[in-house]
Amino acid sequence: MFMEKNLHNDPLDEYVRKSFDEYEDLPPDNMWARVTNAMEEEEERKPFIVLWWQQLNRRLLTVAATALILVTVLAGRYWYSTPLSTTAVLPVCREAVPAPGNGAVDRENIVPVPNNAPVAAPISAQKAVSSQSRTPVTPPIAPISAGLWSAVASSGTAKAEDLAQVAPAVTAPSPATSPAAVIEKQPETEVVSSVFSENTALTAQKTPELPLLPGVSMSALPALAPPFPVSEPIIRPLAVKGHWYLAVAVARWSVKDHESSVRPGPVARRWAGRMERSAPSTEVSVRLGRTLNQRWGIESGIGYRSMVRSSVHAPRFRFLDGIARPGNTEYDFNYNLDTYGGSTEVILRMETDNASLPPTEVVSARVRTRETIDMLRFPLLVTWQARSGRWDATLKAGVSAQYILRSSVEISQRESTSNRFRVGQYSAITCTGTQPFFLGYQASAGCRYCLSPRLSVLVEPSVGGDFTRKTAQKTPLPGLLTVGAFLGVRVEI
Amino acid sequence: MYIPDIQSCIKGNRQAQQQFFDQFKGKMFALCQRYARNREDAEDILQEGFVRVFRDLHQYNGSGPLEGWVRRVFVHAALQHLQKKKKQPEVVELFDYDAPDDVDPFVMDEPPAKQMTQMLQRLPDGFRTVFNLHVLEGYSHPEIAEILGISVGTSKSQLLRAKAYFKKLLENSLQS
Repeated sequence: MFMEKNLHNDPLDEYVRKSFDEYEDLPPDNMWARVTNAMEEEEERKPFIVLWWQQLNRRLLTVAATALILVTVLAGRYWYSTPLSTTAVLPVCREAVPAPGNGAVDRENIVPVPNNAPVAAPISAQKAVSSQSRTPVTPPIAPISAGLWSAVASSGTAKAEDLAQVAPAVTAPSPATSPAAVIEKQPETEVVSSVFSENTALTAQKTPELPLLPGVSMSALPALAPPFPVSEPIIRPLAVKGHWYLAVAVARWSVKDHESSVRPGPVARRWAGRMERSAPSTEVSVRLGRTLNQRWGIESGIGYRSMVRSSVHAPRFRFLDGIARPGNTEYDFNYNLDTYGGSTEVILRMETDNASLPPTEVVSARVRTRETIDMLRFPLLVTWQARSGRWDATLKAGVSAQYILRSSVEISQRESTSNRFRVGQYSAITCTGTQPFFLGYQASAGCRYCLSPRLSVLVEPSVGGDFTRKTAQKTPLPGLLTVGAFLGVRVEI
Repeated sequence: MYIPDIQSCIKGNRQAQQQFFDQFKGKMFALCQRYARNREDAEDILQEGFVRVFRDLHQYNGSGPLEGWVRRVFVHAALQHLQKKKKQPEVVELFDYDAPDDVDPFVMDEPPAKQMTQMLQRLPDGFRTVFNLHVLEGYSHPEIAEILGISVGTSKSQLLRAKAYFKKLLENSLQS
């Protein structure tokens, strides 16, 4: 404490404090420009999810919304127009009682099973029902249960025990009109279609109009049916053998630049800093795939991606590194900049009024470049899928061949950070693209929802990147890591 | 007298932000130079400081003078810049560093603050940081210890050594 008091009363402290009181020193003129640039760069550094949404323009949103509506409408039409006969025959037919002697199926004893009935009811139970049904029962006039209505509406006929449950009170039976008797008297039925899923079995029979109740015919059922929806059977493509499919997908990628090294240039120079940033890019892809079995498959296709990258860098030179222009007021400083499209040579022209500057005078600038890249991607992926109801979980991984169709670089902004130099009117940047063809990788984990046996929509969050690329001088070129999601439609061929 | 339009600055109005910048640039650049090793570093700190000021200006609640708040932001920006340069501000032990006997004379027609800024820039980072925080910003040793992550004893010893070093520089300058 004593020491601290002494320190604060030190005359040196007072002298220094007074000297600095109200003292100001003006920064360089370009400082405000540097601050604004830094603020813009910081805004660009926002979390990529925020940036991703901010940079989605209205046109893209309109296209996406239109596509979604179109897909929904088409899928709905396709779904409801798909006949049920595309599905398989039910195992419930095994419960038909074989005819004595020849072992053939006694079709008269085939009992239609309602939608909510268990798949394998014991035959003994059916026989018991059959024996009970011979007992005369009062035709049911009481309110009919919802489950029975579902069964009747979806199958066109009903099981005897269900009918028996409707009216437990047994009075004044009429053998000729009892439901069981009616069923037993039915002519030979024909199985026309059936639908199978993990927990639902349904047999639909083509029958003549079935007088379920006295005075009530099948044609009157719709009018009597309660106004609640009858559950639809789950429709799944049953083919487990290999088949082809075609998919169209759109992806929005957030791009993260790898750290790129500084490439030695023809002149002695050093970097004060370098930052590269890529804007989110859009990719449209068409894929063709083949399922090899129920789980595995392969997929390939072609995708087109458009991408914009910006690079902010601050090269520094010594004054003697410059090439004097006529008049000795302008000097050209050359350096190499590695861009995604390849090597780029930059000529930066600086102006000074003083040609007699010391050769060690630092010439520094801040340059922002904008690179536009159009590329094609050819993925080759191994796929794995697992099914549950209408949903498929899908995993994909593989390599991707990438080809740069077009790469152009331009200087979007440049400013001097030296007090004795100004940027000249001229600057040039020449992109000498190298390695237009290179390899990358891609992996995704997504899901697919089956709208119909042939049509499904897919969402696939994906990650991709480039394998290391090197220039002719064995220095690494910038690489990208992309994170995004595919949204698309798939059609089974 | 200029009254900064803080709301416009928060909203990102570049014109208002430039007026704000013009108001504080001189004092803050002087502050940055005291903490930095050279003018280039001071420019970097000034740039970073203003970016932080505009980013965090909504946190200023008006309870104290605006200049004091801006000053604190710049001090923290300067300290972080030094940490970036070297993971931690250099802590020079007493026996590690002796004041130089020969010091280049300073030009006497410059204002004393400018000369002293140049002298401060000659101090090792640890000396300079503690000296600035204690003498010019008024932080106590426990506060400095907390800010820099050093012990209170180290802070005190750094300050003593910095003052001795600084005095030596000042005397040599006056003699020449």
